[in-house]
Amino acid sequence: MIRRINNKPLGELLLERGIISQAQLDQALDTQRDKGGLIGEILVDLGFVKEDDIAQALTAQYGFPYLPLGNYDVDADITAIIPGRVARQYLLVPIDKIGNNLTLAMSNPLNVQAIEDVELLSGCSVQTFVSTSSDIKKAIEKYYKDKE
Amino acid sequence: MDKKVNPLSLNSRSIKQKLMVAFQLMSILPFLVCIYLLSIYIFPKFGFKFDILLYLGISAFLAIVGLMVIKEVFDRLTSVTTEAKCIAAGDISRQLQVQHGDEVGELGNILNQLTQRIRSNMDELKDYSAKTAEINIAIQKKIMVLSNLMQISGFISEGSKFDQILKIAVEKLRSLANSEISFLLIKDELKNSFLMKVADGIQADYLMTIEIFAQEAIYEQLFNLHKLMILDAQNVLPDSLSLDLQAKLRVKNCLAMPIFLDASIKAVLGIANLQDNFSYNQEDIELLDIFSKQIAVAIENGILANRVEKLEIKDALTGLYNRCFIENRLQEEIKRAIAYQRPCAFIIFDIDDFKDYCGKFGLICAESALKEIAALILGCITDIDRAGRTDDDEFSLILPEKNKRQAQEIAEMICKKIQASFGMDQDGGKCLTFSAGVSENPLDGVQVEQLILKAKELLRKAKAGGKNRVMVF
Repeated sequence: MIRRINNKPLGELLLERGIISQAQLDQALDTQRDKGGLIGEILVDLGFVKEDDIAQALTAQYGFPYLPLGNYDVDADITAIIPGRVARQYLLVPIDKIGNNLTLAMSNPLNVQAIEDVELLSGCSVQTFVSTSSDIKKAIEKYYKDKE
Repeated sequence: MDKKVNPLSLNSRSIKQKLMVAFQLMSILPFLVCIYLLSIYIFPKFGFKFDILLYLGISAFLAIVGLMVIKEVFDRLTSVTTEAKCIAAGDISRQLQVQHGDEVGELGNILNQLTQRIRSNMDELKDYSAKTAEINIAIQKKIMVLSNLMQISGFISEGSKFDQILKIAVEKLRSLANSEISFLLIKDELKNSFLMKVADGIQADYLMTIEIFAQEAIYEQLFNLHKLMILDAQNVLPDSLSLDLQAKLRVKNCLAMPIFLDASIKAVLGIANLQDNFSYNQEDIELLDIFSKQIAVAIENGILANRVEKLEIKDALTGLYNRCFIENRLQEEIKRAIAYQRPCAFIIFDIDDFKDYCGKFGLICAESALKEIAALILGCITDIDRAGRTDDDEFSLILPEKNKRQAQEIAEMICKKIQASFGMDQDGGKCLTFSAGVSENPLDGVQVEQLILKAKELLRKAKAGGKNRVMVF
């Protein structure tokens, strides 16, 4: 499978696209050093960006399609492909499966290892969509209520 | 000195002979002289006279009676002498028959008194020697106790295994106390109970199953107390405690002493038996006291050793991390992986047929192989990965930021390198191979136990599948 190798961190991507300033990125990185956490979530928490901004930046930069999960229903058969713990840890939700192709909504489609894990787990090749973190968290809460 | 004995001298004769000579000189000879004179000078003049013959007869009779009296005295004297000789030869049980109040009788009495005194002295001596023997036995026993204690101290200072020390101490206590049973109950702070740690003697198997819980009456009222507990013919416990204890331990008599550390009870040491009308003595209590102190030292030492072990993070032989560290570290890495939406892989390697290898080539060879393997593993991993030796022939790897596929690659690379280094072409068939199981967070779980369990399960699959392989699913 051909996958675009990209090591560019999300913070730099947002900086390049002029969504945040260098000072804001520095502040977010300081916060990350102090308290830990993901840079995207920190920037959102600090109010420097909106979740949609991040999703759109990823779409524009890498060509991942954007999927607003709010009004999307997923079959239980599909969610059963991936255990709750994997969905929660990697922040992704399976949304559709056609043939041997599994479609995922992810907040960070650059997490190649997560995609590999899902491929290993499902035996399918994976297509990724970008969604906002909060949408995915809501979806996980909805579909994986009783599960681990 | 060679003194020539004159046959005519009276000095060498016995008193009897001497007195016989004296008697003859005093009576028979003058009598014979008289008869001679009478027959020469008087009888020829007056002719034979009957009355003279009568006088002579009376004189002769008197002389014989005198002789008899002297003989009787001397016979007794002789018998006293014979008896005295026997006594002198060692027969002090003899008693002289004294019938007369004369000097010979007195002599007999004196001899009797003397033998009596000797006899009582000898009895006293016998008493003393019996006492000395008893003291010797007591000393011997004390020395035995001391030497046994020294031996236990030796084990403690040598750092022998904790359980082994306790077992030896309890066995020795039983043999020294000459008791049918000895036991050691250890307090389990978490479960709040006394658990039988060591039991020795009859029905030891049954005793080993005993656990005394906090809700039982004997727990608070007998064992969890700061004092000695005695149950025997003279000491009966209050209420139904005697029966409870006898039923619980299946014994009749019991002597138990608490063992303290930092003013709290850690264990109870005891001896027990099944005899009727039995009473414990001070000696038993002292023995138990000494042993309880010794066991307190062993327990304290065990706790300290345990603490040191917990602080250690490296395996002494290979320099890799130990099991405890690996498990703690894996927990941290999993937390980090969850927080940063990253994977974290965990691999367990096991050397195939390592026991056979040890049996064939010996411990030294096996240890050097383990060291080599450790170095080889370290050469295949990055700075953020952690390698540990988690069992005799088991190695574990924590690979943060790596998913199952990446971990599989690393596991396979290590297995190949092991095969290359310890392959079939080794001298004397010293070949070694690795089997491995790879688990990952989040695929196989979010807890350390889940990852370890999964990796072990996969490792078993790898072994069952023919060894020298890596299993990921």
